[in-house]
Amino acid sequence: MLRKTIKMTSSVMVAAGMALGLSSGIAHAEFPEKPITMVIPLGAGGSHDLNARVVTSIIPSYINQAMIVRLTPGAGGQKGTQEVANSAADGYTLLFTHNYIDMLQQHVETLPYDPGADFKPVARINYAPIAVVVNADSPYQTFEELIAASKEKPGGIQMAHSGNWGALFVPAAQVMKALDVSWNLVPYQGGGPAMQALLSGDADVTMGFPSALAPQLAAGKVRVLATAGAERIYEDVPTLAEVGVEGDVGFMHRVVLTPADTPDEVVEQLTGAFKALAEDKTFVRMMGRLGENVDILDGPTYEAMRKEQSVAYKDLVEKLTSQ
Amino acid sequence: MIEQFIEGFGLALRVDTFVMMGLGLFGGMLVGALPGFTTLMAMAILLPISFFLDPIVGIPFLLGIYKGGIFGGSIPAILVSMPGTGAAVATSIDGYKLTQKGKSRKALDMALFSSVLGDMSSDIFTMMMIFPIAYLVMQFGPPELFAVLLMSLVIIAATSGSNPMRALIMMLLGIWLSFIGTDPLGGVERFTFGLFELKSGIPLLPMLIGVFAIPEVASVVMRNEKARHLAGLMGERLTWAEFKKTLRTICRSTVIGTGIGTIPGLGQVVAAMMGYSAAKNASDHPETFGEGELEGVAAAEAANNAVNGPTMVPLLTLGIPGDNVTAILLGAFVAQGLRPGPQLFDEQGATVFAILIAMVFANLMFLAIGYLSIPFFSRLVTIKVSVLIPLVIMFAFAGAYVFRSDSVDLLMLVGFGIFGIVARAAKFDVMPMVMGFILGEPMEYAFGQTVAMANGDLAGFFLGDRQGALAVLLVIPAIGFLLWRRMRKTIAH
Amino acid sequence: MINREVKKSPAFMFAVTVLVLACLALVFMGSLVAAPKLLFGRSLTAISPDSFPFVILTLMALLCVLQVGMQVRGFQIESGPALGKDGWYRGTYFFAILTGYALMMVPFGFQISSTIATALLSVQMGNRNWAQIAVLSICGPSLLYLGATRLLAVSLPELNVIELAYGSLLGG
Repeated sequence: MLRKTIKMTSSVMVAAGMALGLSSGIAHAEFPEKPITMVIPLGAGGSHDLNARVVTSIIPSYINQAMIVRLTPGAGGQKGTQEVANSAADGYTLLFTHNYIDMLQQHVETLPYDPGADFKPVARINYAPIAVVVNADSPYQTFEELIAASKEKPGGIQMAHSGNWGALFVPAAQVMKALDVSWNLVPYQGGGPAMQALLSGDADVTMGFPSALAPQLAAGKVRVLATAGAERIYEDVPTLAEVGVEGDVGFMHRVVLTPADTPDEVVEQLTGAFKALAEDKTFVRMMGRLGENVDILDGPTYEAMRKEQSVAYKDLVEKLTSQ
Repeated sequence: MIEQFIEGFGLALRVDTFVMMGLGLFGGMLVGALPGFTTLMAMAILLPISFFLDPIVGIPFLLGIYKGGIFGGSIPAILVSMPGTGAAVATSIDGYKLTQKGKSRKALDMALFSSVLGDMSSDIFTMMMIFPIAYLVMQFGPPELFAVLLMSLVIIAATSGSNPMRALIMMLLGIWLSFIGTDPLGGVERFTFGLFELKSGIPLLPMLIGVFAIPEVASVVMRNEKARHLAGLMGERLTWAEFKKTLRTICRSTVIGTGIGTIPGLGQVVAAMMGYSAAKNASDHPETFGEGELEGVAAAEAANNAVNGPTMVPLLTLGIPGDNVTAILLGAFVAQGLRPGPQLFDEQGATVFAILIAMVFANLMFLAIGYLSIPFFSRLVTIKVSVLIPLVIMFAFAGAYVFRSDSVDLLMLVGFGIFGIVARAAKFDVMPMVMGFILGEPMEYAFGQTVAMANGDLAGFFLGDRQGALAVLLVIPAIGFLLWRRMRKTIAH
Repeated sequence: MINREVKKSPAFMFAVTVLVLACLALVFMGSLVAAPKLLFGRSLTAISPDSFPFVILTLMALLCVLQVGMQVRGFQIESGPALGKDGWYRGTYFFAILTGYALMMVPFGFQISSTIATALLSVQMGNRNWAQIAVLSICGPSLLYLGATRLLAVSLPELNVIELAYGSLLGG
C-alpha cells in the first residue's frame, strides 16, 4: 500500500512539475477579467464606506466588472493598507483610503510598508471638510463658548474621535494646539460610533463630515460650531480659520490607491473609469444625496499633492508631539 | 405610525418581493454553508443588483441572503463540526454530537425551527417597539459593553460543566491569542516577534476550522473509522413532541438574544453562548448538554437569530450601522434614496415598515425552503468516509484561504488543527478558548474607552455616571460562583 | 513523589507547557510588547498595551500552577482517550498531507495541490476504487474552483495555464 502511495504521489508530482514549467509565461488578457476588490481600512458606516458604496454601484458600467467593497478596519487603518500592500500588483486590489492614513501615519509609527514608495494613486474621488459638532441640547452655542468652557476645565470636555491619528483626531489635535486647550480624547471604532457617542451624551463634542452629518442636521439633533476650508459652508457657522485655527486643517481627501508596481495601462484604464464617474448623472445625484462633492483628480495630479502632504504632516507631527 | 404600518403591510404584499426574498434565502443558505465564503461577501457582491430593484424588493432580497446565510452557517457546524462563524460554534457543540448519533436531520430541523421562531419573534418585537429600543440603545456605551462582555466570559466559563478551571485556563489562553498583532487602541505591536505575518493578528476562521473541524476529521482518520456505522442513518425528522419540549428554551433564548441585540457591540456570538449557557443552567440534566442534546441546538440558534431584530434599530433610527451587515444595508438604503436617520420614519415610514414586514414573511418562507432542503444536506454526511474526508478537507482549506487571501492562514489552519488534537488528548476544551479569543479584543477596547472617558477617575466615573455598568460588574463574581455551584450540584446527581 | 503516570499524561504536559509559556511571556513582556506613543506629553492610549496582557498572563500562570498542583495530588487528572501506535502513524501521515497541502497551494495552484491532497487522503482512508479517486480528486477541486471564482467572485490561487484552460473551456 505504501509503495503504491509513493508511486502515485511521485507521478502526480511529475505532472505538477511539468505544469509549473509550462506556466512560466504570463498571460495577457483583457483587464479586468474578474471583479475588483476595493479594500477600505476603516469601519462600517463611516463616510468612507458610504462613498465607496456609491462608487462601486456605478462604476461597474465603466469597467464591465463588479467592484466589491471589503471593510478591513484595524490598527488605525494599517490592517487594510497592509493587505493591499501585500497583494498582487495587478489592479484587482485597490485601496480606498484618505490622506491621514496615507501620508501622515508614516510619521507617527513605523509601518511595515512605505506609503510613498509602495502605493501610487489611481484617482482622488472627492474631498470633505470636517465640521465641529455638538449635540443640539449642548450648552455651547458658538465655537468661542466651547473653547471658553474647555479652558475652564482642562480635560473636562470629552471629544469622540475615530481612532488615533485619524480624520477626526488630527483636526482635534490641531485645534487643541492652536488654541491651547485640552480636550479628553476618547477613541471609537469609526465616525459612526463617534457620532453615536455624541448623540447619546457620552461625548461633548465630535467632528463629522457632511455625509454623516446631513441626517442629524436635518433632524435638528446636532449643531455645527465651525467648519474647515477657506469659505463658510453654512451661513452662520464660522470657518476654523476665522476662529483662530489656521492652516491646512480638516480636509480629508478620499483617494484610491494601488500597489506601486501595477502596470501603467491598468492604472490608466482604472483612472479613466473613475473620471467617467464625474460625468455620470446618477453618480453625481447619489453623491449629492450623501451631501458629498465630486472632484475627481487623476493619479499624477494627486501624486504631487501627496508629496506636499508628506512634508506638511511631518512638520505637523513634530509640532504636536514635541512636548 | 399605525397608518404607516398598515400602508406598509399593503406595500409588502407583492409577488416580486416574495420571489426575490426566496431566491435570497436559498442562495444565502448555500453560501452560508461554505465556511470562509461569507454571506457578507455575497451581500456585498449582490448589493449593486439591489439598486436596480424597488427598495421593497431589493432590500428584502439582501436581508434574505443574510438570514439564509445565518442558518446556512449552522449546516456544516452540525454535520461536520465546522463552524464558519463564532455564533455557529455554540450550535456545533451539540449539533455535531447529534450527527454522530445518527440524528443529523433532527439537529438540522431543530436549528431551522428555533432560528425561524427566534428571528420572527425578535422582528415582530422590534417593529412594535422601535422607539423604546432606540432609547435603550442610547443608554449603552463602552462601560456597559465592557461589563456585559466580562460577565459573558465568566458565565461561559462557569457553565462549561466538568472542569471550570481548565475552561478558564483555555479562555485566558484565547484572550491572550487575541492580543497577538496590534493593540486595538494604540496600534502598537504585541507578541508579533517581529513577524510581518502576525501584525494583523490571528485570523478567526482558520482558527475555528482548525480547532473544531480538523481534530474531528483527524480523530476519524486516526482511529480508521472506515465503517462509519452511522452511514445511511441520517435519522428521522424532528417530532412534534421533541419540539414542544424545547419551546420554553426557545422562548428564553429569544428574550436573551433580543436583549443582547439591543446592546451595540455584543452580537450573535455572545447571544448564542448566553442562550446556550442559560439553557444548560436551567435544565435539570445539564450533563446531557454537549453530548447531543437537542435543547442545546435550540437554545443557541434561537438566541443568535433573535439578535437581528434590534440590530436594525440604530441603523433605522440613527443612520448608524452597528456592524458590516447593517453597513451594507445602509448602502442599499442610501442608494435607493432612503436616508436612514431620525427622519426616516417621518418621511418614509410606510416603506420602512414594508421592509420590516417583509422580513417577518421571509422567516415563514424560510421555514418551507429550509425544511425542503434539509434532507439533501443531512444526506451529505452519509457518503462514504473515504470520499467525505477528502472533500471536507478541501472545503476547509479553500475556505481558510478565501477568508483573507493569505496563504499563511493555511499554515495557521494546520497549526490550530494540531493544537486542537493536543488539547483534546489533554482534555482541555477548546470552546472557551475560542470564546476568549473572539470576545477578548472588544473587551479590551471597551475597557480602554471607559478609562479614557473616566479621565483618570475610574471609581468616581462608575459611581457617578455609570451605575448600571458598575452594578453588572459587582454582580459578576456572585453570578459566576452561583452558576458554578449549581452546575456541580446537578452534575453530581 | 510525583506519580510517573501523571507526569506523562497529556493533561499534565499541557498544563505545564502553558504555565511555562505564560511565565516566559511575563518575564519578557518588555520586548514582546512595544511602547505606546505620546501626544502633548501624555500617552495616546488610556491603558497601556501591556496592561491587559499582564493581567491575563498572570491569571493564566496562577491557574496553571493550581492545576498542576491538583494533578500532582491526584485530582483532575483525566485525559482524553489513548491512541495506539497505529493511530499515531496515521495521524502523522494525515498531518503531513495537510501541511504539504498548505505549503503547496499557492506555488502549485489550487487544482494540483487539491488533487494530490484529496487523492492521498482518500487512499489513506481505504478507498481502492481508482475511478472514484480520480473523479473525486480531479473534478472536485475543479468544480469548487469554478464555483468559487465564477459564482461567488472570490479568488483562489491557481496557475496561469490552468486558468487559461478554464477560460477557453468555458469560452470566456
